Amino acid sequence: MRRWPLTETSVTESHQEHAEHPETTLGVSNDKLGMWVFLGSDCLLFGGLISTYMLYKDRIGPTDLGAEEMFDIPFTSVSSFVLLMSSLTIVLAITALRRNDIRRSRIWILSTAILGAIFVGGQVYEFTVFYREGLGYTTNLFGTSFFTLTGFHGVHVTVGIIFLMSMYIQSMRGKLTSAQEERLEIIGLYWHFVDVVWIVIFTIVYLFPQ
Amino acid sequence: MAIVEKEEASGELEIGEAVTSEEKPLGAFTRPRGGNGWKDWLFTVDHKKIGIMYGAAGLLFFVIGGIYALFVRLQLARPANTILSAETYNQVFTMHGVVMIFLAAIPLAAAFANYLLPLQIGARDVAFPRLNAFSFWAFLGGGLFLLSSMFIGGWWENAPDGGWFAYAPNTGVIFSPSKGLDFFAIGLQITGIASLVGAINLIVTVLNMRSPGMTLMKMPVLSWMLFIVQLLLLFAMPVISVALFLLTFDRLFDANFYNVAEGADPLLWQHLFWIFGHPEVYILVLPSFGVISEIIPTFSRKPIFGYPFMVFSGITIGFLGWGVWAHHMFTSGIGPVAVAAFSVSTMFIAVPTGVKILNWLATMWGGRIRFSTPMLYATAVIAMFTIGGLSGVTHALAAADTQQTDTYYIVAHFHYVIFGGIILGFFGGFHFWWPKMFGYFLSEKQGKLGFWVMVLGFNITFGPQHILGLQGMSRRIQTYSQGQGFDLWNLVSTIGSFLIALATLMFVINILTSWRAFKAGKTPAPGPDPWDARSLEWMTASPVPEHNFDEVIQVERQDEFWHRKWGKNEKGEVVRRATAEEVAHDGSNTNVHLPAPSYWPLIAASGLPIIGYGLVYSLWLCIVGGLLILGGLYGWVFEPVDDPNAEGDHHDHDGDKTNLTLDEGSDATNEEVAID
Amino acid sequence: MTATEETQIEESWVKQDWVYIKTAIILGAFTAIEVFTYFESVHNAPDWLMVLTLSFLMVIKFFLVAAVFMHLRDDNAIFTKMMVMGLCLAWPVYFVMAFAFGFLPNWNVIVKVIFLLAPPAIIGFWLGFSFKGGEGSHH
Repeated sequence: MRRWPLTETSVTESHQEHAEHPETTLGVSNDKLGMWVFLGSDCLLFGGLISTYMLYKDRIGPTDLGAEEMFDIPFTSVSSFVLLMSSLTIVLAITALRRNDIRRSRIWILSTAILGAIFVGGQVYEFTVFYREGLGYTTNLFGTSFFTLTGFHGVHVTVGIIFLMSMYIQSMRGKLTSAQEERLEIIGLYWHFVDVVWIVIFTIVYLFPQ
Repeated sequence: MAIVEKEEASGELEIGEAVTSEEKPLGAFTRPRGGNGWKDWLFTVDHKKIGIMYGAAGLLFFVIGGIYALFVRLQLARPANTILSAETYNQVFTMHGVVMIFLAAIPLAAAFANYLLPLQIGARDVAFPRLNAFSFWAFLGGGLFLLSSMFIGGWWENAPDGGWFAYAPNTGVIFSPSKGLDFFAIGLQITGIASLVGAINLIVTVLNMRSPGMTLMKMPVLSWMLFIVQLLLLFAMPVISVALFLLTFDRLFDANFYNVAEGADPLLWQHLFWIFGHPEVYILVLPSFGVISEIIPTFSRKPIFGYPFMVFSGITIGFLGWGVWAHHMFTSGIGPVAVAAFSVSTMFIAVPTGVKILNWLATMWGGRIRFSTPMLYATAVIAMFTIGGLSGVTHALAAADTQQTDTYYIVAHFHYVIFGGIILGFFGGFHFWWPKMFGYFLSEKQGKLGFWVMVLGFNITFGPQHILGLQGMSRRIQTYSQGQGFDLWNLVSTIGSFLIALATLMFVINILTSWRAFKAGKTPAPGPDPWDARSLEWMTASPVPEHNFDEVIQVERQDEFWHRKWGKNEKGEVVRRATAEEVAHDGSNTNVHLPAPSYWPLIAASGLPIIGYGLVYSLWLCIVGGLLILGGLYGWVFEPVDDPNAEGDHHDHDGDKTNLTLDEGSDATNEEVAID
Repeated sequence: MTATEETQIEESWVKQDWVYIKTAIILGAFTAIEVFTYFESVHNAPDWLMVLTLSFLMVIKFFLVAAVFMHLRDDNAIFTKMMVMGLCLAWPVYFVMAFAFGFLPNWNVIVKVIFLLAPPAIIGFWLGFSFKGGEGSHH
């Protein structure tokens, strides 16, 4: 029940629409498949960064600025929760768009972007606190690998926010319709992946006993 | 993938059709009209043109990398030679490796993949044509960025000098203060983006755009090998990306990922690099295996022996390749347990390759073989790769490898598998598909002569290096002293290298003279199927028309094209059913809908090397590059895939993908759409 | 479409929304549990138990987001395969690398091997048995 049937005269269709036709070999859209393929590869990227962090997290040198001292678990739990809820809001945006409730969809899109921004803001705040407490990027290897890992994640979230805001601006210009449902879904996939990576990072980096 | 025909423009709106309006697109597009002006090449999204550009670039970089090799060999021809200083020598051999692997071998494979894969599966183009163009321009930008290190700041002052696998901490700022390794790290990141994005493209293409009836197990072996390669690229590129990011952060931002004095582990780089590096060598060799798996059945006039085994051994190689990386690290102190485990896994991986070799030989056995140039090359690949593989198996034994590592024995091994396995295969592929891609034959006589010079030269160059290695000559040394017993074979090796250079020159001359002979009418047009081949790319005109096929091909079995030409009579004998010209499409259906060219991929890709220069020299440039990328991406996303102003096409609104034709089923409130 | 069809569709959307909200609540609850374990047990429970519990919760959360929010559960199996390929590759490779660096020195070898192979095996089973292939996913 997911695709609007398209008329035969829709030669205007983009490749995206061509692919949405059952005429693709697997019956799925090229764009969606492309995003999943990309997400598969992103697993390896974060795997490498997490492994590097795991290797270096105890190397604090002569300083005593390590994980146990620096982390503020309550604070990070709140921002993790925020990110988790943003996964919900994007999914609600998609279902709203599917049933053509543009206004609600727009609200949920904006909410997701705001929640994401709160998360990033929380990260920035956390980093500034660490810096003020003496843990800079190059202070010790724990710091470097921690900031690199969370920094890459933060950049991913920011890129996601840019996607979402672009969709939001499109909707403000009246161009968001249920035909873009797949595009929003693809953005949603990316967003969920970023959330899932944070689930892993939060557990392994913050919650595992040091 | 459906071939969508353009509708004749009609004056009336049908139900569900959007009100159309003339819209100025975001830029000045030109519709491809089979033209070959420079703009058509610069803005093309056609996989065939992109493939040809990859091939031309790959060949050019192969020559450049080869010139580096000649200088290395000249320096080593005599003991205590002084042609290259030590600092320069380090840069030259590093650039030789980097250029050959990343700028020659990978793009040559990409050339075959881009040109042939859509054709072999009966598709009209790849899944994301503009992304394809972006891949090529990003690769070219990264490659030129890397090569510019050769002369920026003076000749051979700032080229990377840490070897192609750039072991940290040697490649950190302390031990490698020149900018060379920054060029290395950033250049490879850029080409890595190109490869990753290309891999996504081709994976989706293979999964989702096959001709009706073409199941995965009916695809030609080349398509399978290329598909596996894309999956390997997809998962391996992020790992080297991490390694290079860490190196870049070390060098530019004083991170200490590889700085042992600050507590870093010296093996981190090695692990990350080789986790990428080993799948990388299968990325390099599997395309060539695919190429010869097409050539050998054609010229043996027999189907490939054991098709499922060919496919599954390829999959196995791809999978097992992830479990052997530390065999590049046997002497790095990883401990006896790890060494033993990786030694065993490395021995395992010889098995699927052996399966392939046996299958190729079994294909040839009992066939009526024609030793045209492509077949000569393909046969040579089997022989040379076997030799290289055997020396590789000796490396798998960790105890033996402890003696062999970092000697010329290793150099001999990998040149036998890389040059013997990959480059020879690609040259065979060039000769095989040249008539299809360009519409004229390469000279057989010159081809055969060139083949013999190349194989002779190659063996003279690298054969003696086995001996040198076993005698103890270290690799990556700028010179050696007299009286160690290395003199003779080094000289022989150098002479061989010039024969390789001669053979390459002969190939280039072959291209030019064959082209002239064809233009002068002295050689015949090859027609769609000059070799009586088996797969779908031969089922259309030569050179391949822009739209590939005239109609959708319903595939019923493997080697579909061949079976349409040949059948079996009641006696079970193979008899001709139709000529190739009767079966093949002649390219006359010019009514096929094509994706419009675009310059946004080029703009977006151009930002990458600019960011690179910015990181090395001035961060302001990064902003410029970043804006180019951002602007390019926005222009790209909001550009319709199809040119709205082309005649015969319906239009999009505001040049925007968002306002597509909606049908009766929607209750869209978009006031721009008029629904009757 | 008719009014009843419209309300039916609307209801199925509402039901769908409710599934998402339920999942989000469960995810939030798990996160709360995780944080709770961090505080309460951090001084009492042995490390391996903590790691096991937290890993278990992490995997469930991952699974829920992937299956429900990313609707892997309802979509063509090829999407699951791509994700699984990435995971099954990343996990053992990086785990072996960690092992080569001398992580987990005092763990039993058998435990290490189980840790290495269990996740890909579990994911493989999940993939093989619980997901129907999409149309056209032939090999």
